[in-house]
Amino acid sequence: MLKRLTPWLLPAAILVAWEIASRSGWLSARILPEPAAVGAAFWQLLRSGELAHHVGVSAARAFSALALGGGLGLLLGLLTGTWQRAEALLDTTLQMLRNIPALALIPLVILWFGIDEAAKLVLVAVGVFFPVYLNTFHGIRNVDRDLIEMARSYGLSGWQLYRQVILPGALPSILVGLRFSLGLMWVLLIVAETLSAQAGIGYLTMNAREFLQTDIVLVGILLYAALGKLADVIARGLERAWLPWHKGYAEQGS
Amino acid sequence: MWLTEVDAPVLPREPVAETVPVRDTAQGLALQLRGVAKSFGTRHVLERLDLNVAPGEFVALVGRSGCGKSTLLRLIAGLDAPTAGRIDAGLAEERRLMFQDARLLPWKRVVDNVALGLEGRDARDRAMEALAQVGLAGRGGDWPATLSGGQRQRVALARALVHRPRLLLLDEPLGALDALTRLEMHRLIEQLWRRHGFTALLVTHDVAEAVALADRVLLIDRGGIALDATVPLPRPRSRAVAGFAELEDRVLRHLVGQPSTDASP
Repeated sequence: MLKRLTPWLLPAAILVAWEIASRSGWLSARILPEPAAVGAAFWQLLRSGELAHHVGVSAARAFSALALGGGLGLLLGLLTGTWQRAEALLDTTLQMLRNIPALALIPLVILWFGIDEAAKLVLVAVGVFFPVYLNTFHGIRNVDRDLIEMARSYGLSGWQLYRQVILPGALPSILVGLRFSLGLMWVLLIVAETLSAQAGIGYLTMNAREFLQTDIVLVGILLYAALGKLADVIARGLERAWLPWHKGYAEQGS
Repeated sequence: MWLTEVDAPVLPREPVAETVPVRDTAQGLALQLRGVAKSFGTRHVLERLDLNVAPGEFVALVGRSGCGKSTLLRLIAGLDAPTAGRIDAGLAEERRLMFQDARLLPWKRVVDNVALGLEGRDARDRAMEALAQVGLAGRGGDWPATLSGGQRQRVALARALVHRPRLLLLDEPLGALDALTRLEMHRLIEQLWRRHGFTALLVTHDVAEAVALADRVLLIDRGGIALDATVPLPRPRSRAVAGFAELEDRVLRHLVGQPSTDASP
């Protein structure tokens, strides 16, 4: 019990100190409202249904961009990892593009796609593409040659070899890429939503900033933190579900 | 159907009965090599090598490290192609290779590793039976990572045997095991070889292991067969048996390049 509580000791202490500082007048509410006020704002947003609406919009954006960028990264990574010819054709280009930060594309993305949904989708998708692509490529390339030789000598080839040996061998690396992408996804989404939006957590916070509603701004920031944590939990869950054999993820005493 | 004749799990410690019926070697494959050579660039590993192995025979290949014994096995297994010569070792599905490391797929449970490449509805049952034969009944649901080195090699042995090979190739499969586990594995391999009648080819650096298991010990040196010694000792063999030490000594002398003056076979 104590072991499970330990990680939460520090956050709790900070909250208490913050509350005290606000109440004693050290911290002006315009700079940082007290936790209770943030809690109240959160409760109000939750009850009015605004919160669910904005979180839903943001999450839908994030995950559709992940599906698009990550899916493409997975596909191209499998392609270049499997066929030397695809690597020769594509890899140099992709390696060059990789060095451009996704955020540097903002002006271009706005010129091409305006400031609508498409722009946000593209910006996030481009960012999450590369971690998945690179890790898939390396995962496929680093599958133990000895295992492939063994499987071939046991009569496996083609799709059977791919499904039973190459894909499972690359899966740990692919999941590492996915995890990187999940982290990047929120960062890029925040930037995209802050630029312009009619809904979403970014819209919620930017709108609140206009009216000096610091408590709502804080709710927005904390929502991003919670969603980031949620993405991490999902990634861990996938690792546990798909890599039960892996020493690093195996549950004790299975 | 060799799998249906199995009555109970064979435990390695169980002594082999002296009254084992005459081996049926029909299952075994005749192996024939003519003028086989293998070079890697300018390095000639094997040169004009001829070899005949009778069906059901157990042959051990010994030699210094780098003498080409593993290369020869890989050629016979069809993993590499010879530079010259002809190898008649049956079809790919008639031979199975056991590697130095077990090479189990870590993401497949033990029974699914054994069933690798098997087809049909009864694949899993056959894999279970094979596991029982190597004394690992009940471990089928485990992950390979939870097995000891000896157990992994037993799984690899079961994986090879479940295909009912006519030729079993063993590439130093016991090299990394401790002495006791090795002895257990010797008994197990010998028992299964006697029962199933396949032809066996064992590469090893351990002369005692070769003498303990093989009908014939071949010494590979300078790209060819430097010694072809028949082992006339009754099975199961023990190192205490008369003639074991002499034969081991003879092969060892050849190995270090000081053959004894005694030229008798």
